[in-house]
Amino acid sequence: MSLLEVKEVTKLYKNGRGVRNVSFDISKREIFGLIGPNGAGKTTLLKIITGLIRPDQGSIRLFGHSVTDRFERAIRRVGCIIETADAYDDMSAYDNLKLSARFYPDLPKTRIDQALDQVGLAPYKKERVGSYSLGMKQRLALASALLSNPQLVILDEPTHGLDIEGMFDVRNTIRQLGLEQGITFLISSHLIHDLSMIVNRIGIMHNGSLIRLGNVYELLEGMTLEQYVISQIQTPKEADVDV
Amino acid sequence: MYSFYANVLNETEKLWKRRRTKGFLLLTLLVPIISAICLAILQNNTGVTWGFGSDLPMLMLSLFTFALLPLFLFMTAVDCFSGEVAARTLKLVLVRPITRTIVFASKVLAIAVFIAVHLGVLWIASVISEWFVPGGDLTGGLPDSVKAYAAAFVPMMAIGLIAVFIAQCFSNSSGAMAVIIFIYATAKLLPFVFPQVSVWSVFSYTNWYVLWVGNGGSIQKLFNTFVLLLSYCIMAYTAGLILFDRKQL
Repeated sequence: MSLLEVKEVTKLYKNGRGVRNVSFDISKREIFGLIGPNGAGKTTLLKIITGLIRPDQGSIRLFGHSVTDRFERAIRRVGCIIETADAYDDMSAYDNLKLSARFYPDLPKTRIDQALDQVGLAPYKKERVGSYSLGMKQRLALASALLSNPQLVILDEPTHGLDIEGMFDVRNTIRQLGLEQGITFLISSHLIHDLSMIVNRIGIMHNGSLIRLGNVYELLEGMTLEQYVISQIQTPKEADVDV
Repeated sequence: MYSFYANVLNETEKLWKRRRTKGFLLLTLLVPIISAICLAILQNNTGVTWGFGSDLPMLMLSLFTFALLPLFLFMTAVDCFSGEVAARTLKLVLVRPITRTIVFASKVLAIAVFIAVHLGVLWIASVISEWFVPGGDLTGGLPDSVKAYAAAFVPMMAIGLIAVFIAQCFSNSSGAMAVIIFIYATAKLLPFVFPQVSVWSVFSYTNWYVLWVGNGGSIQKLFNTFVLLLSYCIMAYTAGLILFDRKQL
């Protein structure tokens, strides 16, 4: 069963940008990379998937439930970071996660400490988030996404603002969660090299359209992911899109 | 229903953790105390009984419902909606298992709690302060003041909901705040030029509580005014909810 089904989704802004007729699905245990340059429509698509924006056309189903009609059920097993790693600056990291944890009555109280430990923020959990660096905020956002033990995690630019060590940690965490706990990931990034190390399926977005979709090893044919994406974006062969 | 309960707790906690909220609460506590001290000094030094001491809770209610509490309310409503859009924290709630209708309802309830707490603190502080003012009425005015403070909640809620509605039209706090204050000031001044406006303007009913004191108003008048205020509440709530539900983040 597909955890996520995106069917013919279109959302156009007044400036003509957005996403056009995008369809794909993600199955259990996949680590799916949504790749494309800035402005390709990745964040818009993720916002539509998580219900932050309504599509002009098309439908989204998460775990078989429509995002527009049964949002609560659809999003229950999803954790996400969308666009930027924001948090309540007046509160501590622990209190920030406590707010999120309240939406999941079955979550044990120890889970907040576990999630903070998982991203290396446990020593700073009582500090005000306002005093955190961008990298620490990114880690907190990741902890918040993982807090509810989701089955599908949607991450928009998860390594944004992180140093090399932070990027390495995030990649390892994703790989580990994917392999050991069978968590499915949808990760959007313009850092192709970063994604190439963890994804097993990719979708390439360009000018609001999904121009390529498939298994990463089948698509590359000896090229690096970076070379492949650049070749596709420079000459998008929309006529033979395999979606 | 659980998500509603969870988010009411969250919104109340977020409001409480803001320095501004604590500052407002401190001000609500201090204004009656400082007023009582000033009145006591004035009366002791001049030997003249000014008459305010016997009605300090009502004097404070008049001051707060006219200007201070609406101002606090506007800031709170703006913080809860436009402020969260500007700080990009609204999406933190919207990607959780909770519908926008429930998010909106829980934010409004948190604002209602904020109003009730402020009125409660103001009442307690002014009643206690009154005991220290020479000539203060220790117990006689208590039932009336309880009724007045409870009644004051209704127009404050209506004003709060209108502020919530206006806040939906802005994605930054300063713009929303400026427009709300402008509308409030205009609505307060307009009846001086066009007296008939005051009958329909919700902002003219901030002192509605006086009808509840003594023989202030007939049951029919109280009922009619209550229905009018309730109508404003329903309209502002519904319009605010529609805009909130359509918000693209």
